[in-house]
Amino acid sequence: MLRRRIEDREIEYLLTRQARDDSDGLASVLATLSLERLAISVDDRAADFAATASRLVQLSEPAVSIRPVRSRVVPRLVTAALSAVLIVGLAGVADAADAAAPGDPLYGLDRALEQVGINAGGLDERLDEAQALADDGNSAEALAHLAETLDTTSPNAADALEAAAERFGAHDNPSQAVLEDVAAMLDWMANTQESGRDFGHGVAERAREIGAGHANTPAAKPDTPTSDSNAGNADLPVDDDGDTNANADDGKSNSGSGSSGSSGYGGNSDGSNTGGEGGKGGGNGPPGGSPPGQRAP
Amino acid sequence: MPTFEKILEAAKRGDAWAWEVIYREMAGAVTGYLALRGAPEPEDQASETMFDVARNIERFEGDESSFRSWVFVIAHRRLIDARRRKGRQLETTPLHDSEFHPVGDVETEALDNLALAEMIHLLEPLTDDQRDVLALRMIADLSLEETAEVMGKRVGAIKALQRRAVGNLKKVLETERVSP
Repeated sequence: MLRRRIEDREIEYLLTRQARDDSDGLASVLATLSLERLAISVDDRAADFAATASRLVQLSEPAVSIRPVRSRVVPRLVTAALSAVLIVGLAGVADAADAAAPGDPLYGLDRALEQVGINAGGLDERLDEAQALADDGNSAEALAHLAETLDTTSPNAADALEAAAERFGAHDNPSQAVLEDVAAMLDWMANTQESGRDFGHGVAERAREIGAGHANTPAAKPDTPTSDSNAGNADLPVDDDGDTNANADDGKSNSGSGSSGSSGYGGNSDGSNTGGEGGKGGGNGPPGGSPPGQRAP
Repeated sequence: MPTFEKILEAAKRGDAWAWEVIYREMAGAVTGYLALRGAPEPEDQASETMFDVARNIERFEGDESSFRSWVFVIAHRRLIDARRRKGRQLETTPLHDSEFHPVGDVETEALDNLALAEMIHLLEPLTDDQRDVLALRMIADLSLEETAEVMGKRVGAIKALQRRAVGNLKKVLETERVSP
């Protein structure tokens, strides 16, 4: 837990390019990713652009709606969830929402209710949701959903799931074999007795096999656990570290955005308010910033 | 330097000086981001992005940080559109192109350089999302929160993605050290 927090902070430190003298060369690798090195010069276009843009603005008739995506939706969702509960009564709404999968109108409500401890959440429910997506033929989404769920507990597994999702995210109609691979993996995840690191490895292994060996699909990246010096730490179940990090590693201050504190999608960060949470993956909530003290009203 | 509010206000009125400031501030980062993320014609998609910004500035409300995120949300969509268009080999000419001609091929040559090739090579073993995060953090110079907004993900998910991205870069580094 402590080790992990330091890692996060180190990475943020590296990414904000304050570090230059690291021993493993990572900072210098990251330093090569800089806009300056691309030497893009835009100055000679600026005047032309400005003239055209100013004409565009003056006779503008906005055609497409382009808005910032998802800004601070959660607090509103929680409020909406609570009012819905107060007005309609707990059982009906919560049950209906509980069964919702990502993409359903009620799914946001489900996550919001979980956040305040009303619906159970946890890996088991995420699995059910992934299953529902897979049943609808949305294999890529199902995998991405699981990747997000395992983000904190099993980075290797999340990585493999994400890669699998991207592999056939491009194909609209995944082959039967792919669908079967996904179904088999979900089945294994639901029924296995493995936990912690072994669970993560099991998922990663299966995710890498999805769609491998079929035409049209690039072979899975070689990604042997042995070369991963972090595996020992990274795959152990670790508690959600969102609270501390939200403040600790925001390298750049950002006045208007209000991301820390209770506004994040905290998930069930301490696990104590959930009924159905199995031991499989450890803490299940993605890092966010939900205060650990939140309970059901 | 005028404050961001003043610049935004002037840009909404259509003052050319404000658009020049905005272009100088944003166009380089947008072009770099698009180039690194494999846009077929980074300069073209950057122009499209900046014109989208001009056409929609009327409805933008927010501070400088949300403005940066907003611009990259548009750039991100332009990138996806461009990839799709290229896939279909369908060339359309948007109206505004007739009013704006890029100056020469200097930029194209500048982008066709070793640094870009090296960066693309470096990011090859990463997943698409991981590459997006690094490109937005390092090239577009966005904060965690801004990156989260552009990608439509939670800040926590961005942290996890960048942790894995950096982890993968570390592996690249190790393999290249073993077999240079």
